[in-house]
Amino acid sequence: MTTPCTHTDRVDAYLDGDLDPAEAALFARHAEGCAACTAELALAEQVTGLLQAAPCPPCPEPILDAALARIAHQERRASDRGALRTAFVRRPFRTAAFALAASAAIVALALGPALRPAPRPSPAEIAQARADVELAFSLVAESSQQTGVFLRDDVLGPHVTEPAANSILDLLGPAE
Amino acid sequence: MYRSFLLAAFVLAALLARPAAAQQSFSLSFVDDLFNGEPTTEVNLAGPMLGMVADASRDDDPNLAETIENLSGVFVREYALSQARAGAVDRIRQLGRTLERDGWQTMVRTRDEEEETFIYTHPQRGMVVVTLNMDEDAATFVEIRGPGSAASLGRLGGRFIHNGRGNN
Repeated sequence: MTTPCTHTDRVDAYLDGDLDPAEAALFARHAEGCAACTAELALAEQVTGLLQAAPCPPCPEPILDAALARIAHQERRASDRGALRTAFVRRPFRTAAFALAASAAIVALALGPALRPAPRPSPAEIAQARADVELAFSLVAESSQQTGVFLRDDVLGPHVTEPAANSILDLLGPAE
Repeated sequence: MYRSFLLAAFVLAALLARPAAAQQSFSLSFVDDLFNGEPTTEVNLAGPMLGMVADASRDDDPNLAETIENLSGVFVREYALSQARAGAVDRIRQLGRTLERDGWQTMVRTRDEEEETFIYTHPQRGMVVVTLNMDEDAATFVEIRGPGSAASLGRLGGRFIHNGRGNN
């Protein structure tokens, strides 16, 4: 068991590159001789490795296609500008950054449909939707009209109007 | 902190990666299980699309725009009646009982040799119209979701009877 060290809480900041260069160098020198901090750094790398090795949940194909298309588009733009930036990144930070980026990408892919504003339909699609609404309303009207005709001809006529008329005629007696 | 964040993000991502289709449902969805094959007509309009249709109709048909504005969904299914699964027609005829349990009113139920029509209304939820036409081998289901009067919908729809189907 390693002896507790008050500097282990700086491991995350060190890995994330949040320490300024002087502090980072100081911590790196300290970690070389501190079993607790060395163990903490090793554990962090182990967790990162495990996360990278874990099976990725399947991504819905449309989201994947959209993401790949966007990446390709951005790569083309970057290439066009001739501004492909390279930077020296320390290995622990690069590993952590990769893990963070991978997690963020998975979250973004999963949340994509909810966060992305729905594409505005084209005028043709809106016109088709209006035609669909008119179709639905016309079906309602058609049913209502047929029902109305049915009520008039098959219900009100034979069962109400005609019997009532016959009763009145009976009361009035035969025409002279 | 660092590891906790990674683990939390990973778990969150795994949970959110589940298909979102399970969240969608509408009352006419039961109809699709009653028939073999695809519907001959299928309309599913809801949400912002209806708002856009209302906006697009405001100038040339303000009555239509106003009616659509108050709706939250318009759904249509038309199937060949001959493709109905065993017992499907009985289930359709009994639909009224289920709806009535949910507070709907049976406004019309007519039956003759060639055609049966059922119209159900609910003051807030809207209107469901079911037509079984034996002569034309067609079963038609319309759900107008949202508050609205059946009479005004019928009057409005009367203007589209001759061009509604042609546009689809």
